[in-house]
Amino acid sequence: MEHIRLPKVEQVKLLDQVAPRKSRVGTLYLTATHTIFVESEDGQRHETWVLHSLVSSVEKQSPSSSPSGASLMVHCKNFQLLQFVIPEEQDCQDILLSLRRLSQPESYEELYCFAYKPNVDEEERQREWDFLSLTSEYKRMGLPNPHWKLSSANQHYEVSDTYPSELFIPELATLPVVVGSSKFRSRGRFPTLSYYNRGNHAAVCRSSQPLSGFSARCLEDEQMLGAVLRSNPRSEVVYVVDTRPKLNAIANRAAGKGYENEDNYSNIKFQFMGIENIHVMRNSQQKMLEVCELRSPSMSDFLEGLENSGWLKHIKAVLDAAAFISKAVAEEGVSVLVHCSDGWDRTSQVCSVASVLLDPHYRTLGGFMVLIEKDWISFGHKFSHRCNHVDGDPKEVSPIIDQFLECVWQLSEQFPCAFEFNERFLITIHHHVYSCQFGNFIGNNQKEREQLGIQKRTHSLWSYLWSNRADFINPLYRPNHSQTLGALRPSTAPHCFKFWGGLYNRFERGVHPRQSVEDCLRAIREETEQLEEQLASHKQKISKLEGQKWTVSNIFDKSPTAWIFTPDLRLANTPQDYTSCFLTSGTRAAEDSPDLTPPDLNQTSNDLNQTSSFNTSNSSDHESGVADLSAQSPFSEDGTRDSDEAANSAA
Amino acid sequence: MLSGSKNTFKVRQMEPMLKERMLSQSGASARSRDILGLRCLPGECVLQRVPMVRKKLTSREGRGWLSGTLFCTHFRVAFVPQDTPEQLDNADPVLLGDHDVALAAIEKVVVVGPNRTKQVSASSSLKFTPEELLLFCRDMRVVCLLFDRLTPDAHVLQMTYTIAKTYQPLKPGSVLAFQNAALGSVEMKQFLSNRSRDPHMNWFETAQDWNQELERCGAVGWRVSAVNERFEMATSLSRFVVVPQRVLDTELKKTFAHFSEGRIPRWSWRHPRGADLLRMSSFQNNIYHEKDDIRNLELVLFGGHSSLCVVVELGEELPSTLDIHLSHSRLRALCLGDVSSSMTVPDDKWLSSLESTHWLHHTRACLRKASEVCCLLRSGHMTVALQEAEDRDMGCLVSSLVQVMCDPHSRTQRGFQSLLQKEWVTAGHRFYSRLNYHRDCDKDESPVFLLFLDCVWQLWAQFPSRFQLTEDFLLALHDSLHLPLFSTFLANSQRERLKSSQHVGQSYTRVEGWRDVPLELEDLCDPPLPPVWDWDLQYSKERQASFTQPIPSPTPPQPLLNGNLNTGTDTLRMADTIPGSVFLLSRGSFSCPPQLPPWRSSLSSSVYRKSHRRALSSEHVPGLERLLKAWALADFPHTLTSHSGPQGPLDPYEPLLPLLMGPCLGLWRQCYLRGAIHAQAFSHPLSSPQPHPVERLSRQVQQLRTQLSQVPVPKEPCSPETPMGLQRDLNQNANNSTFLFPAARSSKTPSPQQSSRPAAGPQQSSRPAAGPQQSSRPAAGPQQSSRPAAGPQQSSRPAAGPQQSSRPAAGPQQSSRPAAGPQQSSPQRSHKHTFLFRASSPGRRRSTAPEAQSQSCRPHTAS
Repeated sequence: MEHIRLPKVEQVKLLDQVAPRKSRVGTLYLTATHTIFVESEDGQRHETWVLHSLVSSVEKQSPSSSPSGASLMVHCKNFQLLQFVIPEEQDCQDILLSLRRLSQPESYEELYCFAYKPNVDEEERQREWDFLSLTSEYKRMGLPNPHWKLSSANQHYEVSDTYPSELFIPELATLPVVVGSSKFRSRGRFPTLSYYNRGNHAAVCRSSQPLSGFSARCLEDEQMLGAVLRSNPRSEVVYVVDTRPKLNAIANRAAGKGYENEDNYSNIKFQFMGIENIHVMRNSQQKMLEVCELRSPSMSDFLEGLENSGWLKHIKAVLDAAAFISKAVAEEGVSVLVHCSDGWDRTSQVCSVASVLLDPHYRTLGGFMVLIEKDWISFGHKFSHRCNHVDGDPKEVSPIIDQFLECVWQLSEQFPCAFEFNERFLITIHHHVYSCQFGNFIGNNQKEREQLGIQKRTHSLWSYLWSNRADFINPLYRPNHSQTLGALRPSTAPHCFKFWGGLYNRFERGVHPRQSVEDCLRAIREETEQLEEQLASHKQKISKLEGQKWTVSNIFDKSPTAWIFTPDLRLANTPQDYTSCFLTSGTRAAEDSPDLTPPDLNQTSNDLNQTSSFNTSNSSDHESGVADLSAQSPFSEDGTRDSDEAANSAA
Repeated sequence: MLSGSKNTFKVRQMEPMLKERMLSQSGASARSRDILGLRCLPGECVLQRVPMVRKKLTSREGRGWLSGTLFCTHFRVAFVPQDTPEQLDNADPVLLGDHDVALAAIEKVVVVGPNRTKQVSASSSLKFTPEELLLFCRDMRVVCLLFDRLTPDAHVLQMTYTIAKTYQPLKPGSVLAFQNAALGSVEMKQFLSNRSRDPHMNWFETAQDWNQELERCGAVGWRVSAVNERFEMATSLSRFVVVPQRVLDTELKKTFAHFSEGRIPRWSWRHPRGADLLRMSSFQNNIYHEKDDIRNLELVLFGGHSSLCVVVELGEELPSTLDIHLSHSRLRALCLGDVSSSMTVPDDKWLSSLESTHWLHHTRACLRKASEVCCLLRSGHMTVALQEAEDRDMGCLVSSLVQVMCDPHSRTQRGFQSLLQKEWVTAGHRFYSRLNYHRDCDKDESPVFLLFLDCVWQLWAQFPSRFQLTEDFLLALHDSLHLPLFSTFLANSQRERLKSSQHVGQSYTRVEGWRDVPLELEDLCDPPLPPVWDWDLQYSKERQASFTQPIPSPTPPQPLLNGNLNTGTDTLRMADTIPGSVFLLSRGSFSCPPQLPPWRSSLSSSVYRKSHRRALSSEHVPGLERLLKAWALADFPHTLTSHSGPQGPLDPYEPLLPLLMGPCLGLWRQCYLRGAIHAQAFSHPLSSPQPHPVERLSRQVQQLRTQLSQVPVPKEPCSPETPMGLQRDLNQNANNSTFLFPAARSSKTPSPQQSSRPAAGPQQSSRPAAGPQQSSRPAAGPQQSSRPAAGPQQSSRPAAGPQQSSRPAAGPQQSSRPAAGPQQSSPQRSHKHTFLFRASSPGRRRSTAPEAQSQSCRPHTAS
């Protein structure tokens, strides 16, 4: 709170990026965690909330550009761009300074996740963290088995402090081999298992670059690779994939690092992949975002800007590398060792995209979460540095995880039926990687997270996503389709890569297509399911009533009061409706009753199921009213009598 | 005998270079024609046939590969998948199956051999055996066919040469031959003449059609004039024009001279809010405007509204026909790649090369212009006249685009077809010259209509649920455009179209004279050409089903007769404006140049002032500009409802104004990139769903073997008809047959499911046919490892044996095939072939053979 210089400014204008004339006027509030813009022009309150941790930069533009006051540009990490015009120059300055301080916390303790306290008790919170377990994921892959074992070498992070404590290594790799190999690898990140293909025993392993320099060798490292090779009994070779461009790898040799020499290792095949480093990626994304922010780009501005940014080229490079690996594993049955420099950026990207290609499980909601947990979080992708969670070196920041999510999105565009989740799922994950609302992405590695007590103090994103999974389901998902079984074979021709407007232009409402087919489909499907359920319950009810028909109708009393009460009850959805329907007169009931006899209802719901047309909403309300009624025990007797009467007359 | 004479009849119609070939083939083709399930058109001949070909499916069709049989007839290259369900024999002929390509649609033929790629023409000879055949089509499809390595080289070469020789590079004259190949036969002519027109769409050919349209739009104050019924006034216009009621025909006749090519302002559509859309060509300046004419000219121009007319000049901001042509050919080159580079990945300049085609730029310009017009129309009572120099290209495009945006009826399939009929076909778009089927008017070629389809697709992509028609329909239309078969596209104006159809009627008697007349193309008369809208002729019912959305969209309310939907707040009241103001909309701003209608400047101003109370003023120009601005700023209700699923009740006539910013327009990938064959990560079939025939055979042999091993007593009667001798043979072969299996398979345990196979007996009896040959080749290595690694394709095949050994193994299959015909009388024997040719679904073979014979008799008896 002490950083807030000015908690509230009135008469602030929020400019619309697409149509600058349509600006909105309201009040700007600064709170400890959010910037809130409340617009209350035409009686309708409209609020815009921006989390401080999502603010990537705040700039004040020269006051001459906007005559009505000083202008403040707020760039967010989720690609939202807000332009406020604040009448008073001084206010603007205050807001600028406060926001700058608030958006760049100096220590982890200031992060939002430690302040985020939803109404959940401690036990429940603990259960959130148990939602995903890597152990069961390895078990799903079929591990441990005779070829791969769980290693305790890194139990207390003594071999590599950026690796997780639980690692799978080849059965033949002894502890001295592991330790020796880790000494020969940058930051001690020795070769270890990332994905195991149960079908043909081929595995995807990951490590960091070897410290080979120009001529250095390490016997243990060579033994380690030999063990990887022998863990796959059918193959005679291991691919070693260096995801860097060759030039970068050679340059690293001068620093005593480098890449494996094919002569020193037995039966390896070495391959460079040419994915650029984090600095190139950062600049590329910056250039692309500049294109996105163009006011009204012409065709050539947009296409040329996009190409010059090189962003899609980099995405293609990642996907190419992943396709290479998945082909090697799935088609050739050859194990692959992937590394880059440190083995936490490009390696994470490539391994996880390859896993998505290889295993249908990773294309489901749960599988995708566990994939991120495994290949990114546990293997030490430096989230806090890359996403700039706390104020740090700007050179460490890079959109590596963005690229991964975009790769998956590009795949989902190519294979719309192969993914259980939709675009919104990816965008939500992207949002929370940067938002710091959940503890999952805080810190740079597992050791750091344990020291911060993440699991004891924060909430987990995964269970949050799971509980909202209805929003993230892809209506087109067909798990048993021939195309979606087994490995995906994407095309990586340049025309297959599209600009992801859904993410980068997410907040510019005017830019998006006005109709989302997917949403339409989802709504229709939900509607259909609901109707089918109701149909089933009605059918059940009717068959039950058919049995009682004759017995009850003889004793049925045809008093008018019964007629007045019951139809209205059918319309009632809530307890309030129930009470009010006793108060209101019976005239409406008389009008409504003819439409609502059960055979009619069944007829309409049948029709609706067939057409699943847009105009189902009205009648489904009526029907859910009936469904409610059957659940309401006190009045159910009236209901049965009435519908029985109708059935009787129909007969 | 009948079939033989039928063939000679056929050959006469063929081009001479094919005649010889046909004769030598006639015996074989007559019998084998239907064996593998190709349903020929009446009079169609199979020239060449290769079984076990795999066709690459596009991503739209579900990727992967489809195996089947490839045919080349003198009309098309047909591909019949293995498991095609049987069709009704009495079904109407469909010109092209789902996997077929008409010869006229093929642009070039490229073969891919081991490490080589070569374009094949009629005269070229190949020095290698093709493994893959690529057919580049004019409609931007690329059909990729993969020959089986068991197919003898000679067959592959023959097929390649046949296709190369018969596909017709477009040149003057070749189109006619193609039309005759498709529709020239007597049955086809009869069939076509008996087809009825689609009664659900408006053809705009009679006065009644136009009246119906006037009624549909609720347009009052207009009438249909038959002044051009015999094309005397304007040759390029339709027979009927819609003009203001107040103008008499005698007066109207005088106005034609004042417009270029006599394309006077005429009504095309009325917006439900009461504004009328007119089209006209440019004013004729060099003519003296008589006083009497002026009143008529103005009446015609102002239509029903005396108040305000906005002339939208289409020449300036829209691409010229030459621009479109250049742009489209660049786009083609980009999307298809040329032959030399077709196998290499294009460089990373994809986006900038896309930009440099300017295709999206042109699309955007058209959409922008149409959006502007929509905004004018929705504002209420005025006349918007689209003016283009010739009024035969962009006028068609913009006026129809405006209607697609504004009129829900135009977004249904029938409505869209009617729209095209109204704005393009009868309005005299020069399809014939623009599409340049004959390659005889290169300077006029320009795919204006394709640009229009792209614009509609852009709208569809942004508002999919507001359309009843689908992308598939647009694609089908796009593809038909490249087929020179339809009267719709084979004429420059309605006059030419009618003329050619009459011509056919007169010369129909000459059909019988064919045989005596030397084979000169000029003497072959035009067959009666069907309109493109007869989709039954082109596509199967299944494909047509995808032309429209499965979900019925809410029916639009009937337009108000008086056209008064002026309930919106943003509409301008035009009633109090000065009568007779004419404004020019150009580059997004309005102006009123004094000489806009030439007669005004040519006259003394006094005359002009007499007819109008006040001089022209531009005082409500700002009001008009506001209309356009409102469009730029408008936040339409559907932006908000887009996230809430199905559309709520909207004003159905609210125009679909597309977003035109750079990221919002996309490339029509499903159309232009259908055939993208740039090298892909996995381009060859690795695990095709259909096992290789040899593998399947070996699997069945394996199954039989396990079944045999389960038989406890040798005397077990597995089938009463099976002779014992055969069984003994079988036992002998069982020892050797392991050569057929991969090692992994032979180690499998016997599966118990075998005993449930009902057809076990006859199957076994067929074994000896294949057995001895296989056992006589001891050199056959059991595994793939024995073959020298022959590139990715070889290693990727899941098949069992190496190439050398498996070729002879297929021998019995092929040698026994010609014998299939005469043996069909014996049920048991045909069962044998059932086993061998499971791939070719023999049930159909048997049932269609007699039918084919009876069909083949017909031409003879008829003539």
